[in-house]
Amino acid sequence: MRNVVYVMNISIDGNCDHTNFTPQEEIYEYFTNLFQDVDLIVDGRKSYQLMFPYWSDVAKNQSGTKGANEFAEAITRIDKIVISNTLHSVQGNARIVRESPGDVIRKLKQQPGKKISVGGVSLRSQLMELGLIDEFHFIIHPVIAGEGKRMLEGINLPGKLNLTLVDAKAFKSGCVALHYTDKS
Amino acid sequence: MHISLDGFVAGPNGEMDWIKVDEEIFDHVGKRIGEGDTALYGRVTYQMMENYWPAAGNEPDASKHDIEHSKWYNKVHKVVLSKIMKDADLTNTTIISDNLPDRINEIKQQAGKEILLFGSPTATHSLIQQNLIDGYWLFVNPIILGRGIPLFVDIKDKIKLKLLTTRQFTCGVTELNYTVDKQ
Repeated sequence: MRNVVYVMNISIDGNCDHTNFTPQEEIYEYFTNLFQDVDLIVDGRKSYQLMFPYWSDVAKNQSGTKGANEFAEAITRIDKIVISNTLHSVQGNARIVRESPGDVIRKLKQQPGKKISVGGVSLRSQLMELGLIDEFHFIIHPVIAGEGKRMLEGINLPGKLNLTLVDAKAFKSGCVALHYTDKS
Repeated sequence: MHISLDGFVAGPNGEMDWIKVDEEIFDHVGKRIGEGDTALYGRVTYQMMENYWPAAGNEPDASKHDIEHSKWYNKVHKVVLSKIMKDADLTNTTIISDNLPDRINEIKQQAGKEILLFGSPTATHSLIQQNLIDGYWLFVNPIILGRGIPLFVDIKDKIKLKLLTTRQFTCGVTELNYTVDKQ
């Protein structure tokens, strides 16, 4: 069974609005390494639209820093599925599916392959509610961000989710990457 | 402060049964606490502490942590944020009922070691709002609660932090030790 991986940048107070965070080389490098084990990215519409035109351009034009360019190449190269009932067209190696997230992920997990990375706050929260996430990477940024989109907004977890800590890595910038698995 | 990954310090009714603490954590925490000379509490946490710690070291089945922390608790100067308590009968305890910034700054100006704030989410919210907290010593538990009492509430402006140290504990808790970046 393939593992489903959830990677998220958050502030100390659980705010996941990416505009609160300053991009850094060491974090890009951490992500690029993570994505070596991923051969499929599943996104919601908003997350796809936010990430991919932007990062494909960076990859094509090599317009970022060294770390950003390598990250851009890594994620642009990976096949993508966008779960959406309203999106009409996508680019490159992406394709649209119009099924429920739970069904999509359960089917994909049965197929052979490397890990599946899921993106988008709403999609990830729904999958967490269904217990379909196997691995979590939280990159905690050294900021209390205040108002803004929260990690689990609008979602009802069936109960507490106990995780197993695999590794905690501190970066020069003060960010800390916490890697957990869900063994339940 | 012991927190869940999603930033809660207790369940919705104050439940703390999910907090992992063991000898390894007690020993580590004890070293820093032992050096502090002032403990700060909100009223509810203070009452919980008073119900347990003064005599905890004397119980027949007292653990090493019970004995050590009880001794420290009885010695440390306590400051309690409360609008309703009176300090007439309390030894070694000061009550702050109003004028929080001035009273806290008075204590900060005095010569002495760290002032450690324990638990006390409601008091913490007030202190954060008045910019009176200089550092966060967090123990992140490997759990997502989904709901509960958050550590941070009504934050108006972003607060930048500096990471001092981190440490992984065998039970899966991660210590994150920050100061507030005052630049």
